[in-house]
Amino acid sequence: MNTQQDHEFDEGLHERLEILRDVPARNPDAAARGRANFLSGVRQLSVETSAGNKRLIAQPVPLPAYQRFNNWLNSLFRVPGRRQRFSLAIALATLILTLALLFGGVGATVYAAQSSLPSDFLYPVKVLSEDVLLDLTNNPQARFDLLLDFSDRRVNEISALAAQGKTVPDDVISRFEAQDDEAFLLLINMDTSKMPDELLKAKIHKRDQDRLLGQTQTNAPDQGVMLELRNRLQWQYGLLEEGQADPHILRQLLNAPGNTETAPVAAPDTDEETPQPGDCPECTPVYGGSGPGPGPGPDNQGEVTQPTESYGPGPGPGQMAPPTQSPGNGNGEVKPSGPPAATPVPGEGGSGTGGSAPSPATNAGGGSHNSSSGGSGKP
Amino acid sequence: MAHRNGYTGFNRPYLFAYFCVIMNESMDTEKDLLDGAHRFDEKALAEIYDRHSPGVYRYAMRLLGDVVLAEDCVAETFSRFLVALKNGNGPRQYLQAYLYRIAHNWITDTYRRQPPPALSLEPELHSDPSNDPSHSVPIEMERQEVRAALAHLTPDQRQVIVLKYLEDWRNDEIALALEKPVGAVKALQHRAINTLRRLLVKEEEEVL
Repeated sequence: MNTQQDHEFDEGLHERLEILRDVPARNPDAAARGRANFLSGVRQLSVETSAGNKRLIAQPVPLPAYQRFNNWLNSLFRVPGRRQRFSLAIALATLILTLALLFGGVGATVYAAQSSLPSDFLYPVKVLSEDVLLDLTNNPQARFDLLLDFSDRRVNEISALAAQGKTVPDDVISRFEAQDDEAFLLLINMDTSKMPDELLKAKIHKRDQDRLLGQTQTNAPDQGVMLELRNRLQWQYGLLEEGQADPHILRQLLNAPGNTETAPVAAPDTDEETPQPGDCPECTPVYGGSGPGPGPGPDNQGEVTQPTESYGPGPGPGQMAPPTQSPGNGNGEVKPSGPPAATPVPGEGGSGTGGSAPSPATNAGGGSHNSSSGGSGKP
Repeated sequence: MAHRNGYTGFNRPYLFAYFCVIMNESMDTEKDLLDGAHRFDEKALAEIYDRHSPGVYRYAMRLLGDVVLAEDCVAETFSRFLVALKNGNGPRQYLQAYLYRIAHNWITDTYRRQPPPALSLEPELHSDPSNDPSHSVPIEMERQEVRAALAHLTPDQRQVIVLKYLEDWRNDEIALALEKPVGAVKALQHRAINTLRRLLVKEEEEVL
């Protein structure tokens, strides 16, 4: 069928359809009723809509508390042009993330400070973290281990500074002494059964520290500090060896008169009354005395050396002697209870003062002995 | 048929400009009416009813051939229109196409409830008793025959045929009413014509 036939048929079809074009006139009454019904529906709908609006305005439904809280958060964090829903979960997640970043940052700073040197910016953080850790550690055994580790740190710091040719600050050495002294105090107050192991442990620490300082190549201006420190470590090593042989001797040595201020704990196994300074004023050792007490080495006999600042390993091997052998008074009379080292005069650590047994905790003897004043203080 | 095959003897640019002016005014008026309808303005809704209910009635009457059903179609069409306005879903434009679409859907539902009658030469006649029976009976018979042929079309094909050949709508207007592209309207028209040709021409040949 071609297009012409379609057209002709469309014409014929349209003529057939035209018979439906004429529609009888609409009944006016039916049309009026339909219009009236429609307008009635319009009025009813208008009334319902206006009443519904009034109900909505007069009785707003209050939102639950959590939704009002979320709406308030949304109003705080709303981004213009963007619809956001700030739920309570997101608020909590934000709080947790903030705290994690805060404390994580502090932790990272403390961690980074652990390898700092005294000349570094973060060194105070390192020192502070050590103090906090010590304050939080009450167990004597754990505290002893911690102090040994901290003394290792100090020696490492001193070694590193010396290797860099820098001067070792006084507070570093003071801190080392304080931590070392406290470690020894804890050691002598330990149970006797535990002491051998702890003595061995401390001895190994001191040996390693001495070796580290001995291997340090330095061109620092104050190399005397290194030497003094090594002398102290070697003296402590000998002291610990004595303690391994007999822990009571170590307790007696470290609780010698003159150390009571900083070493108040008496040795538990001794029945002897701890000599107190001032009990025997006449017993004050006098330079040049000829008592039988084991004084410093013969090299320092009669020599007086000016102390260097406030640091020194203390007297020589004379302090190894038990308190009963404390200094003579030149007359061959020895008073066992006398505080031979109660008031050692700086610079008088020579002969006749060998009875002093300063504790490392106090650097007894005024803390002013230099390495030569102690004579042969090496163990 | 001459007016459907093109205008001759008139100034086409002038007519086009006139048509645009009329359409703009009509669109502005229709927009105002729709705005009033969304505000449930009784006057605007009455104007809408007065303007479009006769056309909807004629459309229903041509397809259904029943006065009562045609009135029901008008009432249901405007009732659905009000419900849509109440729900905020009423039209914002092309109101006439919207109303005819509602009416067409209602008529389609009516066809489904009442299956199309078989093509017969002996239908029950309801002619106007005031007219001459010798003249009105054949006309009414032919109407029933054409309605029966239309009932065999699909709803969309039927709507295209009625709107194009009886309501004289353009293809773009029919496309708005059917919510389909103009091309789809042409395709529906082509298939509807083929179907009507097969039904009506075959009947004519059988009669002859």
